[in-house]
Amino acid sequence: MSGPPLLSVQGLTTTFRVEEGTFDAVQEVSFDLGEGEVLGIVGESGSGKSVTALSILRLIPDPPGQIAGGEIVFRGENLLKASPGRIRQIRGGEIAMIFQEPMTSLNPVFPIGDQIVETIRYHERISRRAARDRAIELLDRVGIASPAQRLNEYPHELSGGMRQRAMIAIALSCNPRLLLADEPTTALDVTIQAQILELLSDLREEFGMAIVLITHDLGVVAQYVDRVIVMYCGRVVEQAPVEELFDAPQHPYTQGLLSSIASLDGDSERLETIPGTVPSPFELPSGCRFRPRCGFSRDACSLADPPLIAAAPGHAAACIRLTGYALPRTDAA
Amino acid sequence: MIAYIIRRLLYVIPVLFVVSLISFSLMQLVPGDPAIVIAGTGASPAEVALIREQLGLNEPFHVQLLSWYANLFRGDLGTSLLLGRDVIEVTVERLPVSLSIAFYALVLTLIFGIIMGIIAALRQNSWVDQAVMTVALIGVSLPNFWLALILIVLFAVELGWLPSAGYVDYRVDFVGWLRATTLPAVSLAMLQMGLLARITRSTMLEVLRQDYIRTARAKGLPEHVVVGKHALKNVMIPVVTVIGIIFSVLLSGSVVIETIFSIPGVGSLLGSAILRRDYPVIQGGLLLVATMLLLLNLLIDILYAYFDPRVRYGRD
Repeated sequence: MSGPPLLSVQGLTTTFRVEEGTFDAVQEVSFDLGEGEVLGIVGESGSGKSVTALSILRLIPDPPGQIAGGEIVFRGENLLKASPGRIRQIRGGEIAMIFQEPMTSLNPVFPIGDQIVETIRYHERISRRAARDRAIELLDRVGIASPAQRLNEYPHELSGGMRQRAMIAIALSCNPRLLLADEPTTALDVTIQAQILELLSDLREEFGMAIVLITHDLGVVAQYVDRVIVMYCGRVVEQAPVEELFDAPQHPYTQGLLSSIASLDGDSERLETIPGTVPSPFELPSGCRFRPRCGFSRDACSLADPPLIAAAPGHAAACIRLTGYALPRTDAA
Repeated sequence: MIAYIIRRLLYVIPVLFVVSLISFSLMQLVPGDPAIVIAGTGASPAEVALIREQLGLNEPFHVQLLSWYANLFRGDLGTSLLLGRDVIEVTVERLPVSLSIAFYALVLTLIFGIIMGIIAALRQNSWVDQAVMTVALIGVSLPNFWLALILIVLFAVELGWLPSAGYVDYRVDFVGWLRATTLPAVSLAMLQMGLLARITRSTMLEVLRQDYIRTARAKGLPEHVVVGKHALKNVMIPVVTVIGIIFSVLLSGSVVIETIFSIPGVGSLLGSAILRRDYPVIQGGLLLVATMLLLLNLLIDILYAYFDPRVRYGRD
């Protein structure tokens, strides 16, 4: 990564207040993202991936959620200190976001053309006609056939894949520097998934934007991502360049995730699974949060939740096996 | 869209038939003999029988029904037994009175009901929300005739701001009409306003949780556009559906309210017709009002299709 990062998230903590009490959906999450880089955030449901992305755009519904601490610096500006007006300029302008459910993410009562045009016109002084022409171009670019007609159609008239393409068209409409893609293909058929990911990959090269790709699918990560963050129970447990992560995973959770991918070689008869389940945020174990499910856990693991410990340049994991079960004194990340 | 409207229009025909059948049969089932009422208390049985003969009340039910239908198709709903005038004429000349009050009440209901609901939803669980919902609850709980009396005591008798009774034609004196109809319209609207505020509030809360609202925010739209455009149009879908119901309730509520405020509308006409067994007026008046409400509901269905594009093609 050369020069200052495009986005730097430092010590982000986002809490949610629910009936049972308050918990950290995201705790002390830090990472940097360079211009044009694709970062994958991987984890199970409830690991805090989506909350991390929503926090960047300050889209956490408040109540019940609240960003309790940390810094989110985008192009030198701390977004957590930005005015509401400034945040709106950034949303959809410099940072765009697409979501998991293309079925429900588009407003059902407005034609998709309107939904693209309004985004453009809120960010740029441009005539309705010019915005419309740009919308047609965008729809064409994201692979929607006969875009001029599609412009007047409502979301329910489009297939799931088409809707996600329309969402991508909205996201790209103002040339963002960063695209937050929150499980963009999870709700789609497998064949469509690949098309959408290819499209994102092409668009990234064409527009030169950085992407944060949130997914629970390590297969997706392997193919489309430069660097990976693995999250578990609201914390980053490992981060590494993608090849490193697949070749030499350090955290037992990452190792578990990797061995639970079905491989086409068919060496193993059964899929490996990680024993146990993700604990409730109100019943977190003492020390390392993965300890009860970990095959390597020892007494030392229950003493403190380990920070990220460097395993190799650019590669760190939150596991005290890296220091021979000794608790490190400083944060090595 | 045109096909949709035509389809809805065709639905009106069978409903209208059932409505006409009910309006005719209803009074036949109710005890009481109009001949006795017309003849007066001192009349002999022979006189009563004569009147009954003249009115055709001795004919079997189906003969009466068929001749009523035959007249109906010629645009003749008969003559009022008491007023001695054409039923259509009597009803139609009073319709603008009732409609204008019901419409005024509807406007009040929509404006205040929707605004109150939206404000309560946007300030959910705050004191504003609780205040609005308390007012709505009071509105829902008060019987409109009681509210009417209280309003008369307060605004007409004590403060003397508004007249306690009477009606002024809006084509003659609009301000006079406004003064005469404000208390009746408020009495009618209060209940519906409360209901609408509650419906709007819960729908708005539901809509604000939807993914497309998050999308609208993620696009950088200001909050007044997120709420006023993206949320509101979705909120209006269930609200529009109940507008038809609200209007029919407002119109039927006018029977009592028009009587209290001595307003010469269809409501008070029907009210006195029922008390005096004026069959043709009851039957014809009911049919006319029902037809109007049907057409109004048709209009609502068309509006509904405007707010919810999925309706236009979705139905068979």
